[in-house]
Amino acid sequence: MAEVTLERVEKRYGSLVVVPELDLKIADGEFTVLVGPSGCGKTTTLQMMAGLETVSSGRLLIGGRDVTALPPKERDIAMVFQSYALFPHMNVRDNVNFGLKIRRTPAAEMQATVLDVARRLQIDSYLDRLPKELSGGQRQRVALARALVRRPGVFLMDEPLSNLDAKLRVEARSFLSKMHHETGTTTVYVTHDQSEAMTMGSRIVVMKGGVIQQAAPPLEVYRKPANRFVAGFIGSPSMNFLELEVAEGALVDGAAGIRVPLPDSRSAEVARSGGPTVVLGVRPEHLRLLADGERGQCTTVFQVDVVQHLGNEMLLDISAGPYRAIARAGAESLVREGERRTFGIDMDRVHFFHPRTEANLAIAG
Amino acid sequence: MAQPDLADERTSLIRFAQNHKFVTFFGILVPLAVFAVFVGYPIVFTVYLSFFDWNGMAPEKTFVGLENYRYLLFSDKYFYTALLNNVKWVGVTLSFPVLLGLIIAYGLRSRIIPAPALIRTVIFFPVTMSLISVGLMFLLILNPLFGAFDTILQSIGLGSLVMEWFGDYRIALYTLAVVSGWAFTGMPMILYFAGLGDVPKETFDAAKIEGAGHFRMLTQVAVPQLKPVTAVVVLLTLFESLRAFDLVAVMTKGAPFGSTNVLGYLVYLESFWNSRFGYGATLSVAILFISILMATFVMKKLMKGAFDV
Amino acid sequence: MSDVALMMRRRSLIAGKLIGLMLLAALVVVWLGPIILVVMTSIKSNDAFLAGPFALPTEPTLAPYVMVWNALGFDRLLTNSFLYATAGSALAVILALVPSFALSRFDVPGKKLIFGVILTGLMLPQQTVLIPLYDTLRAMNLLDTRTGLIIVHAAYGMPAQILILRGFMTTIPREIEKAAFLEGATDFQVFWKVILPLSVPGIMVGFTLNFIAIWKEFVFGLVLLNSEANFPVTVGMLKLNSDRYMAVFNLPAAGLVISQIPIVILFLLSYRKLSSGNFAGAVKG
Repeated sequence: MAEVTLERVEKRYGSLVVVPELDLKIADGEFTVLVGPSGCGKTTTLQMMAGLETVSSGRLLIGGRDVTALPPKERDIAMVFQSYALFPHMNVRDNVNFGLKIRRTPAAEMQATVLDVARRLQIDSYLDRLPKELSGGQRQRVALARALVRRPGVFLMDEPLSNLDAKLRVEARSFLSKMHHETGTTTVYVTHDQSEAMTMGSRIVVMKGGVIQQAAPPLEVYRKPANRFVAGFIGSPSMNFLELEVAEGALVDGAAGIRVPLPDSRSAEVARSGGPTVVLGVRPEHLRLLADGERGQCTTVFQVDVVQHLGNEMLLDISAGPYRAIARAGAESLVREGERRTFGIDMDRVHFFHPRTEANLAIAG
Repeated sequence: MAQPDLADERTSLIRFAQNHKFVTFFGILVPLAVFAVFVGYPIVFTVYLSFFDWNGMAPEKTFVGLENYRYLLFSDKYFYTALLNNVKWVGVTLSFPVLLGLIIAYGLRSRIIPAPALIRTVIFFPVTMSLISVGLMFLLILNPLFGAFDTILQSIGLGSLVMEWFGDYRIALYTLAVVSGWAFTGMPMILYFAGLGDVPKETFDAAKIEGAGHFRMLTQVAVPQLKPVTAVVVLLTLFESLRAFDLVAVMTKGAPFGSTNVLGYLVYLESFWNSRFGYGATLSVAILFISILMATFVMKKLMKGAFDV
Repeated sequence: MSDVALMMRRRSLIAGKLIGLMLLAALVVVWLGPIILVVMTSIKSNDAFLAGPFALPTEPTLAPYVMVWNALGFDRLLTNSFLYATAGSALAVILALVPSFALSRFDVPGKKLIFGVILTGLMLPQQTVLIPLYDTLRAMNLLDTRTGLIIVHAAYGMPAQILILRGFMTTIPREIEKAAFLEGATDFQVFWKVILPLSVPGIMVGFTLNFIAIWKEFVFGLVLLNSEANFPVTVGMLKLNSDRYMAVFNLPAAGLVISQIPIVILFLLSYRKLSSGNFAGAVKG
């Protein structure tokens, strides 16, 4: 059983608190992704799990054991680094072997395991080559092999795909997911790329400033973001935010000429903001360009500034007064730059955020 | 593709000189001239002189052909003693300061040893001392009557280890070599310290996770990645050892019984004390020959790609 | 943390720190010890010295310093050394600047040969060329002159300077001078206005290293000079290894300290810059 638990784990450098008391439970076999912008503490947290950084206070448990004071080699973990950290002077076989040799694995068993893992990762023909003779993708698989051969309880991965080019990255993503299905090993994965987080994790942990903003399965984080930061971070192009005044039955900004009718079903939620304004969050796909003559329920008029053709769809840069937003439109839409058009807002799917606390007002408390 | 023939080489040289007059003159010709006068010519002249017998003052030099060389190789026991001494010296300075420097640098980088700035300063400081000073200092410390070292040994009960550090012809050379090593250790230490900073930290992290302890990390992760630094360190050490003149001059002057003669000092003795400049030149040629051999050997073995030209 | 884990963690931390401190102490004793001893000895009076090497000086006195200073003529010795080190180093750097510039940026024909030549200059044991040097200087009437020694030091310091400066210059991005060349600058202008100002840190490192090397230097000073008036500190100090001075240790000890003070000052002044990897990086390059 290799679940990972962090109890009030904190990391301080002198008086600077980098990760304030963090609580996190990762179930056995889960693929958890720690995601967030640079400096959000995700790598520091991973390093604490690995034992490469000390825990300033709190407890860290792996597989039920308190490993807070234990060195990395006694935690039954394996790690894949962003730069792969292969030993440049050793060939692939010795790189993969390294940990097994230290644990005095018998030669025959070692050879069999290495060969088996190498075959599955398709690097068995490179076993005698040096890292510098391999491509980036091959090196990454060697790093993976080194982690796999020891069959650890937990895999820790620190942005392992960041150094690959875009096409390889997509392939590697599905490969890692497949591997996770086959081995069922608990995996903690760190990345700054939100699309990686969305596609790979069974659970996403969004972090900012060392604090967990939300920890939930991908779709939940997408559809029910806990606060404005998570809402803006997950999803590309990111969610549009408009801070509007609360009026009778509508959200308005007179000066910009915006008037968004507010359905009764959401008015109680908006009222929770307790103040004159509320932040409306609407994803680009929920801002629908209405065709000429079409009527919609909740509509507002925007000016279309830029039309970007992506082939399968269009992205429209739209504005009203000082407000800017991005809307998605079908590839066949008839729209020209400079036009003033009506957009329908799917009010069932929008979010309301508190203007100061930035919390999602739909979440009670 | 065919090899560019000499005509091409020459024209490309001339073309370069024409296009880059300033660079060619001040950047190539001037240093080459300085070099030729102060380094090139002396080497040539030394080789020339080695075939003569000359007292350094008289205007005539007597040509003796290969006589000097014959004497050197077959009759001069001082030469062989000195040669052996150089070998011993190199043995000591390649092991103790280089290894210690490496281990200390690793200890500092891996935070095993605290106060890195202090340690680096303290150990590097003797590198800046003139070897004359170092020599004098240890003459005081290792003095049989008033020296601090013997006093310490006796006070901790190791009095039996006390020896005539300079007087005993069996160990005098090793004393000198160890003293020179003491002063020199700071150099490999600083070079390895900087080198370790360039080794990607993640290779150490990965090794830690795989279960490596410090010894394995030092030998299997650090040292292989430090090969270029080791090449520089070894070369520097070798050249320092060949130059081992200063300490001998100040501490023992070859005594006792010539047991601390090193090749460099022998040249000095023969030329300026025995007034046998011709034979001194012969010795110099021998030293030159040995240096070139050593340098080529080290370059071939360690410097693959370390010196990118 | 659970109690057991806490205790384990504390114990291993303390053990680790203890080992580290012991190593630290050992290193400090071995490398700082002799120096402290010498300094202590140098301020003892004659009687205090006889009391034993570790006896603390009861009445510290500067008398040994005064005596040694006058007897050896340290004012002259220090001035000479300072002159040789400064002038020799400066000259070596100046000679090395353009070659470093050339080797770091241009595809000079015969580059490999030039490097080989430079390396030979570096690795030459000085003793092998003593005789011809002696002879050459004599022919030029530069034997036993300050100028002669300075030139020799510069010539032998030049190869190391070229390596250091060149290594430093290769870290200056090529785009900078490409822009200058595009504007129509000549080689000299690029060198003088672009590369030179940017190389100042490297020049300072190189100058400092060379200064120290010349200050320490002994062989050339010994052989190529005859008059005491011209001796650098290293040669002048040779006198200290005689019965007259070695009878009471405080005298040679004082001489030692005096000879090192300028280097200590230089060290303190430039340590920040030297230790920031510049030095080791330059030597590596």
